Amino acid sequence: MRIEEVDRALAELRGLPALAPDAVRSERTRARCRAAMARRASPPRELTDWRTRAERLLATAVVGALSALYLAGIVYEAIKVYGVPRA
Amino acid sequence: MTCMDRESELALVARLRAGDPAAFDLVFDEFNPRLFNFLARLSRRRDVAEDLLEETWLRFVAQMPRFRSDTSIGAWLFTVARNLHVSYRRSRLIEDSHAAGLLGLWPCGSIAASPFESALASETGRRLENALAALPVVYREALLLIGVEGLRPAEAAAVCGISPEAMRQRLSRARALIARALEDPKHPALTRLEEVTT
Repeated sequence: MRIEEVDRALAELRGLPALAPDAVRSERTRARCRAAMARRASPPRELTDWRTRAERLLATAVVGALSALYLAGIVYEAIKVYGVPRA
Repeated sequence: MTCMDRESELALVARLRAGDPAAFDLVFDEFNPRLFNFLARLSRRRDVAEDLLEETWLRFVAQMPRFRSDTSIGAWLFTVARNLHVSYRRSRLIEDSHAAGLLGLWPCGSIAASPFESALASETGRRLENALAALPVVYREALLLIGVEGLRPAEAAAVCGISPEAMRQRLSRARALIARALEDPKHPALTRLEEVTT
């Protein structure tokens, strides 16, 4: 086959029939993408994020304070029993 | 590479970055069939092409807010689709010599003749499809991107992550391979493919 014929054949590549994706699945994909975009854009989500962050911060603070109190109690009891340690 | 001019594309990118659903729909309608064609002919399997197509769009949406203002939408999409196919091939260790049948690309049970079936009626079309499918994947993707999708060689090189010179060499080699395959109907690659498809 001559190179011109090959080039003509390659030009026919553009004329190959278009393969159609499954329409139902394509629409499902589009819907998933749009849902992802909506989730990212919606203000309630930001509010929820803010609340979640605040709740986490509060929980951490409470647990930290209680832990510190417990540790202080142990140190206090230890000093009461053994006295102040000498260097 | 796309129906839209560069100015319209940049405006579209700005809308995508802002999360405009209508802009997304425009891009989806323009590129969904083209990406499917590319992936289906690259992977030679309809189910794989559908999976990779969906993953491409999900990545597109995830990355949209981080697009640069000069992002080329088509190049971005074809790059991701091509990379997903590379990952798929690596994970499944697919060998080119074990080509899946082209007939598997089309849904079964269609009453009317599909465009593909019409093309099969054409001897040249059938041989061209077979020759294309039988090419090693690096040459096939070069032909698909430039010959079918109409990307410029430099754009196709960027999609494949190679230099424009390397892409020119691949294209030249692909032309030679397809010429040999078209010249000799009993070319080993085509014979193997016929065994699968008939």
